[in-house]
Amino acid sequence: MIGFIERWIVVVIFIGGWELASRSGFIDVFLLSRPSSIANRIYDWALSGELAMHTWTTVQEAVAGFCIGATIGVMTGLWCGLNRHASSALVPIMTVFNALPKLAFAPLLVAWLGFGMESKIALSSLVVFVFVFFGVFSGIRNGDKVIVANAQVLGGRGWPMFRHVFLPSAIGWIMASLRLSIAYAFAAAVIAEYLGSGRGLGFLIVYNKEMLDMTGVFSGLVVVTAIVGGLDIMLRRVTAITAPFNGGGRVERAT
Amino acid sequence: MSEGIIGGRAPVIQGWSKYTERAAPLLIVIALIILWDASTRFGWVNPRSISNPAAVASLVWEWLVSGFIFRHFGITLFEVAVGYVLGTLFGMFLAFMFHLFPVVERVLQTPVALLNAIPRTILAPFMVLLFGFGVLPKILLVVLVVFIITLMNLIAGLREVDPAVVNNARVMGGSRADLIRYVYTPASLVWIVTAMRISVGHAFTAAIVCELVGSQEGLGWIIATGQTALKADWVMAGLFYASVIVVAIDRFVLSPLERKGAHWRVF
Repeated sequence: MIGFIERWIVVVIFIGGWELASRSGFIDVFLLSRPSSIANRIYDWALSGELAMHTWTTVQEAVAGFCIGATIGVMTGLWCGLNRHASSALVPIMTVFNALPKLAFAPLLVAWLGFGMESKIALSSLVVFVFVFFGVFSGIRNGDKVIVANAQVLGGRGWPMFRHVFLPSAIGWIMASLRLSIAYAFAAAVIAEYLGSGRGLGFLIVYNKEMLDMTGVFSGLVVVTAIVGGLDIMLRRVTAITAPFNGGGRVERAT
Repeated sequence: MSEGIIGGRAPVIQGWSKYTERAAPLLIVIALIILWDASTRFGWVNPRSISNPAAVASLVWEWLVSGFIFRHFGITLFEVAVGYVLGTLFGMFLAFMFHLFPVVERVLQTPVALLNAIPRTILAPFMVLLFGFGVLPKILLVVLVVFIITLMNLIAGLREVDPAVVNNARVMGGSRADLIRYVYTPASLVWIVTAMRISVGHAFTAAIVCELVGSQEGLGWIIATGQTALKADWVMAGLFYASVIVVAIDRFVLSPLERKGAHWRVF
């Protein structure tokens, strides 16, 4: 119980203090809104169906972007991890690509693919692709060299080699990169919506910004944060299932 | 498919000389540029949306010669530099507080975990609405982004410090200040450098995204102006400069620093 209080006390004081300060006129409600108005606004959006519509749009974009980016990322990551020609040709490009400010490419994609969902999906999948690529590639490359060498000496090659040596050592990295990239997928979708869209949570936020409505901006941000945070907690549980595989390399070495 | 995996770098690959290996990425990039040119020339893609290589190259050159780019370059660099330094220092400070005073960790872990879970760059419109179109909202967003990365990395780093060293220092009469000065700081240097390397890209992204959402100058402003004025060459040239600066800093400043930092790993 004490632990619980300790953990949440700052958050409670922050929100309570914010509410009190705005009610007593200590801070400007126009500029900083107040927690109760934000909760009210989200409730109103939920009742009018606006919330569901915008959320659904953004979720579709982020999930589509995530699926496309993750699929390409896993495939090219495996390819580069397992094939030396592919890695020498692609990894230098990917390293530069990784350093680029990818979210800044949103205006380009919006100009290219339009104000619809395509540009958001494209940015989302781009960001996820690069992130997952390096997760998978490092996972394969950082496998225990001794085990790989032993398996090769014992005649390991092809599918069995992949199934029993590379995959067990890489699965932890792959799962971690997939889990972390879902937040990037949402961020990319929302930022692409900022730069040009007709619906979605990013549109909702930027629309309220143009209206100088801070309550609306806060409410939109709270919704996005809640979705991303909720997904993160859920995926932590799911990826924990693969945890037994993570120590595979070390266990085999000990025997 | 399994050949060449062991031993890190095989000196010679069957059928591929060292030069082919060097040239392959370059050839791919050239092929992509040709593809870009061809796609606009043959009308596969509307040239008004992605411009063409020649137009972008000439615009990049023109901005460089006229000095137009330097002002915007300078603004973005200023925002990132100030935010980056403040963010790193603040992250370091908080990480040391976390480590030295368990009560700080117990009380602040939830807010930090919440901040860590959300994508910080989406806060750009909020920052702009609250702090206006100047450099302040960009700096603050960069501070926020960098501070979390530094904090998370450094907390992990401080946990890795060998307890035997800490205990020895204590036994020899080291005070808390001595521990910070002679044990924790040198031990965590390598983690700070790693965090700095990770956060530089995020810092630029945050500054540019914030400029895209609302600004009057800076690289993001160039890109946003190009978008609203439907000038695709502006968008492309702006992205080019934004990419060049980030890649250059990563390549020529932080990578060497990190490699050097590996030797600083004292214990």
